[in-house]
Amino acid sequence: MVNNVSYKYISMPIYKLLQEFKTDPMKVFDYLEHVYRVIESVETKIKAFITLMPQDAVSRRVETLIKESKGKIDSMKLFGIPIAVKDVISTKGIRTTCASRMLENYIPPYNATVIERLINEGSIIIGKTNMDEFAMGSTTETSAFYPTRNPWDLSRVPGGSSGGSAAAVSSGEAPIALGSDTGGSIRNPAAFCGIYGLKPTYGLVSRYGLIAYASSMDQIGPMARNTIDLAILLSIIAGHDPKDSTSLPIGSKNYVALVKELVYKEPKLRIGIIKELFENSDENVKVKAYKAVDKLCTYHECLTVSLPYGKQIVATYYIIAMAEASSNLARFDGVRYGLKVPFENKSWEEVYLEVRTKGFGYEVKKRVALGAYILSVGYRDMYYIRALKFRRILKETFDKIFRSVDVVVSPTMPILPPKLGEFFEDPIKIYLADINTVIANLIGIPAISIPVDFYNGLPIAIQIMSKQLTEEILLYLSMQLEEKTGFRNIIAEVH
Amino acid sequence: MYESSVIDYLEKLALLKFTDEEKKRIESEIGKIVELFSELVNVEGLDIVEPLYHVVEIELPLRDDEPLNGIDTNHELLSGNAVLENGYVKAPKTVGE
Repeated sequence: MVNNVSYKYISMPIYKLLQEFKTDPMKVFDYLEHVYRVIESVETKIKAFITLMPQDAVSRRVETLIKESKGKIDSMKLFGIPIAVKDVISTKGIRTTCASRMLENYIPPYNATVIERLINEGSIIIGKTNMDEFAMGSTTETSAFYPTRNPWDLSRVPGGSSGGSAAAVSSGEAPIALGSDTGGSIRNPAAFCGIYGLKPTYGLVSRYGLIAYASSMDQIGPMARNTIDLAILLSIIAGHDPKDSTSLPIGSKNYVALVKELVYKEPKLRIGIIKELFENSDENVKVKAYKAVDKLCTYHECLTVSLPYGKQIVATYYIIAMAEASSNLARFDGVRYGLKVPFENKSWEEVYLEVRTKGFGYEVKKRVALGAYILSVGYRDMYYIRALKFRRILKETFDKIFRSVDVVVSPTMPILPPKLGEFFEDPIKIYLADINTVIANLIGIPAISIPVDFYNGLPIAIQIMSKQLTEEILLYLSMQLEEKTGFRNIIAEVH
Repeated sequence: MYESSVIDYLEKLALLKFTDEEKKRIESEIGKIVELFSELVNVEGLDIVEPLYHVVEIELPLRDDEPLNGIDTNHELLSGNAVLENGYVKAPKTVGE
């Protein structure tokens, strides 16, 4: 416990904080004071941030906000609420590194659409969070700067790639955060850190200003300590953006109102339990996850569904992700921005090779190189096209499953958070641990990670997936489960 | 263990170099990764389906080709480390002598 910090205040959900701030805007400063005391005490141990905004700069920002918002405060949906933002999302004037040497000194000249929306609603960015380099990893260990540690057990990883965002929220350094999810990068760290995380339907949230990893699967999403906070944040970032050509032509919904309505009406749903994804999980995870699902099954109708594929799903994900990454990361040539090497008397090819060699870490180089290989003559049909075909088979498999059930459930991660360095020797093992989460990205459906229990002090979570654009159903079930487990607004005690 | 010629090929293809230590790591990993990728060889019915490039299979609207709040009037989009000459960005030469 940090001295002189009110944990009642720190753990307060943002919908309650908002009421306090709107009654008395000066309370924003009080809250920030507590937040920064927590940061001062735990950040050296956790290292959730790459760039942390100094408290005085944030206070000045709040002063300006209060002045500029006179008369509008009541209508602002995040007035004075601090937020941590994954360092893959562009923030005007705030360094955005992607945890890479390539962008170590890059300061974006524009805001991502999600950032514009947060600022318009009165939110305050307190820092940019650590991640796996260019979001390639599941442990936050591939960051070019330092690994982040799990607030529940400092010898373990927080998950990834949005590990900094998850660790910041679970340790009380920020009430909410933004992450991005290409193959589980929001849900995996949310599960390992004991918070809520949602990957929206592909195209629901604008990717404008999100530095691309695998464009056909990347989505930005909310992370929070309870379901309603998750819904508030989702309502703000969702909805059409003309600046992103893959953004769906639909408006945002008021997810908070929708969830409350569903909780009130309490429709009975059909829940499919994906047998194989439970059976392939560690025993401790499996037992606790089943126990949580039972809580839903006392009210809803549960039935077992079967997924006849395993490693093929992971193979498909990595083939597509690496192929798209090799193309996306070709933009980093060090000419207009990014890592600079002197180029007098050197050819373009020499300079480009040097920039990529010095700018990228091992995991990124490996994925870019294998991606180039996958797309090369002779291998494209064998790997890339095959993966895209399997992607359709997977989509059709789930289309069929969703004709008999409304949602499907599994553990979020089949394992407990590993120790730092545990997977260094066997990367395939960590790739295979992504099996439950990559499905939603491959077929563009929404998925939520809900913390449900602890095993030996380590959080355990379940994942629920549903049809495209039915996020409110996921939030409804999350809310019901939250009521039953009491797993809400929990802050990790960092030792 | 993969032969170093494969790693050389990957380096050439991707226009980057692995350090000696990285080479050792990738040599031990690449076999396992390719083995994982080969899981797709025997999936039943794969030949008769069309590839799914994109999960949203509806035609998405394109906006008119007009700048939105243009920010590049003063090379704002360029960071401090871009080399400018006569208002142009200087890049390494792309053709030989």
